[in-house]
Amino acid sequence: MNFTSTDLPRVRRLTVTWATRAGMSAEAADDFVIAVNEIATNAVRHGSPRASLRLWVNGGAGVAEIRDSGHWAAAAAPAPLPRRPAEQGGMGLEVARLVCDDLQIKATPAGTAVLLRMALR
Amino acid sequence: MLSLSSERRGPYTVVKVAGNLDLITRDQFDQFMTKARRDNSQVIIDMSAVTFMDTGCLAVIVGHWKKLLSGSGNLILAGAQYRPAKALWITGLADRLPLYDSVDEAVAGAEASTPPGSSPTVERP
Repeated sequence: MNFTSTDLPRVRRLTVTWATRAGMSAEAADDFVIAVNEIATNAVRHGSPRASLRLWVNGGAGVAEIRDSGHWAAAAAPAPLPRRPAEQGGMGLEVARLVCDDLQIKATPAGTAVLLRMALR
Repeated sequence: MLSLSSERRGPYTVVKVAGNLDLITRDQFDQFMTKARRDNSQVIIDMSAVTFMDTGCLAVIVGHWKKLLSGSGNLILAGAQYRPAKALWITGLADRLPLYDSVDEAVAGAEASTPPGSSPTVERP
């Protein structure tokens, strides 16, 4: 789905519904929603007003890809929790990294894509 | 989406938050907290009706907490629920911010002059 900031509640609803159907436990689905929401928030706040979310299953895990046409992640990447909590994208990115099984950032001239993985039960 | 109200409870201003704390409602929440903080240096946030909270709004809370502490005031969180407010626990801030199970307990506990951050009565399930 494509989304802007006003769609964030819909992003969360879609993600929790999808994650539950895909077979995540309730707790994993909650964490996955938190991670997707943080990255989606960074995307529309620091990246570009419009971003996209794709969800699929791969290798026993739920995968979310959040893609925008901005360049926020490079600035936010090395921001451990206690040091720079309020800087751009820092705390949200760290929280997403903490709750997911894997987080990958692909920063290209065309924009930023973040891949989140969460194991299915 | 987000409903905010405040009431006086003895020496405290209780800010009742109902709904989502996210990017959409962050500025509204921040402005409301700024006003509450200017009216009174002793603020309790009633979080029992929060349905979701992101780290951006958590940062707003931390910002107001620090400003109040530096002016010898305090900010106390009451009734935060683990599932919707999980960002508190993931970040470890649940161990640093003053948390109480309810507004009643916050008022009673704060009157006993509990040092800030030393009263984590909300247990992780």
